[in-house]
Amino acid sequence: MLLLMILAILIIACALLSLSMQRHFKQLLPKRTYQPNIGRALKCLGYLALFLAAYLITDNKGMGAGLSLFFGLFSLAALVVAISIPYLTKK
Amino acid sequence: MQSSFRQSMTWLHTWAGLVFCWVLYFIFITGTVGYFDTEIDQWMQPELHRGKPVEAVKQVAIAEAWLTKHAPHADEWFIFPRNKRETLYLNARAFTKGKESIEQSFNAETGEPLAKARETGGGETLYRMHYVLHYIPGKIAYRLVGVMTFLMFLGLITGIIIHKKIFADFFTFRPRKFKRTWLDLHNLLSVTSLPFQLMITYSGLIFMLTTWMPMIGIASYGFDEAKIRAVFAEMQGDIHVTRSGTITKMLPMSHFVNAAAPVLDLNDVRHVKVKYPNDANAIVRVTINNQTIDRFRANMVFNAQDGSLIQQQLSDPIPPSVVSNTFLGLHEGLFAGIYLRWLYFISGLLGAGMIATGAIFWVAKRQDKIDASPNHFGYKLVNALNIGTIIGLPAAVGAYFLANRLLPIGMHARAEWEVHCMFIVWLLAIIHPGLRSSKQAWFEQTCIAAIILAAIPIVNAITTDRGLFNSLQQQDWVFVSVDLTAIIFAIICAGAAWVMHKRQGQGA
Repeated sequence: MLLLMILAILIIACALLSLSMQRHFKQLLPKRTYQPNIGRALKCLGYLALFLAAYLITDNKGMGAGLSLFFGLFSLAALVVAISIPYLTKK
Repeated sequence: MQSSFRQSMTWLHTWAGLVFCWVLYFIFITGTVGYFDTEIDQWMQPELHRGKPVEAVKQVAIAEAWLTKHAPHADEWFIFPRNKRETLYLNARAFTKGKESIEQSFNAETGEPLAKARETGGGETLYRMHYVLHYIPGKIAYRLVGVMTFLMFLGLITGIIIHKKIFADFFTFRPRKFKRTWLDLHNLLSVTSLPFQLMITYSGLIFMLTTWMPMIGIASYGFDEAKIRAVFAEMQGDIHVTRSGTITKMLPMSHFVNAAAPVLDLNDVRHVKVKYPNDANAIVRVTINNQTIDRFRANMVFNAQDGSLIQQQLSDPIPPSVVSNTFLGLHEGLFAGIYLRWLYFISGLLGAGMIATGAIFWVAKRQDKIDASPNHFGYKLVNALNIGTIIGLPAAVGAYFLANRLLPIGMHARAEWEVHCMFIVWLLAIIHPGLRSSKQAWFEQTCIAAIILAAIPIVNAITTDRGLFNSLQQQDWVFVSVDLTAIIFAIICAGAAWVMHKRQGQGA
């Protein structure tokens, strides 16, 4: 359960980080205009979510296993987000 | 000479990557499957049932009775109780210098000796292939793998250098753009799993440390191998004892296990080792599996006659060894629970995917030249190795699983023939693209891989009583997982074949 929750947080973190980039922001939200301030805010939120996930998992599973789990789950989350973007924006 | 640093690095990345990429892919696939080596061992001997977990103290007594009867004065006894994961069945072994070792496995629950199961290479053979390959003398293969690991590391470092915008392009994936798509996929797989790839390759190099840098030991201890080995043994806390020649009765093994119980986790005993059993100088060491990332196996050593504690090691006392063992422990992943083990498996597949997409991109980038001279030997060779390895090797691994079920049980050299079956399929897969067009070869081999993988659970259900439905009913999750994994990969291959077929129809 904890791992699913961490995976969900990481997917949200990756989604926020991708939205913080102008290119993906325009792809995903074509009707809105990208503003650098919004980009910075999204980036901060994304990193915050990343650190939250890292904290939760190392707190529960210890440093060694926790960090290993974190990087494994992060790979999955980043892949899910990156591969979804073009299919979510397909017209 | 290349004109700029980045161009030189691109050249190095391309060629260091390409030349051995198929062997590296083989290393990644077999190593990745090896994360489930004991589970595959179990699946490959369906005659044997693990039964329920049993207290270590009861198991040790069963093995002790057998060893006392069959080898009371051996040089060494080893008792491996059935534990959480690594040791599947209670096993007793005795070693005596100049004599052949003897061993017996038991049903830990009933204490009955296990019937002889089918001869098989199991997951262990697949796992060993990722560092000693096969058909090549182990020492040479190990050194070869060392060189390839180094090239892999070089590939990763040069890859990071030539990837201009790791962060800006982090989530970039543009499908259906041929060359661009393959490069995006290659980058995506590499960057998202970069911590794992760096860790697995760097720690792989640490395994080769004394093989490629033997002067580390020689500088201090000369060329005397026995002396170097003795120093290593001493570093690991071995206690030197000699046989006294006086026969003395030892305390029962259960005494030592009980004595270790307050300190060590006896649910996961690695082994109980007795040096010179029934001799006046006998010592008993109780060791548990490494449950931490630093690979250290906590242990306690007792005097076999009076039961007094001689030594107790609960953590690694040497800081540099903690550092190197943490890397090795991360590589092996033995500390990993079931979820982390699956993540290791997925990360390994991402690594294999990174190599595969890189190799495919090499061809895609040169497609115009290939179209202009389709009979060019180099391009044909790369293409054949690409198709025959990227899709042919997983099919060959599937054939290894099928061979385990289909070869006659009493067959001579059965385990070796399982491996032969795997390599024959791989060889055929490399020859096949030479006879077909590239698109046909990709499509046909993907279909064949899907069929082979889908056949695994079917043949398992027909030839044993441990098919998927039975395993589900008995909640035998190891058998369920192997069957389901084969089904999932068969579906992925079938899906890929369908997409290829559709695109060929569209003329894309």
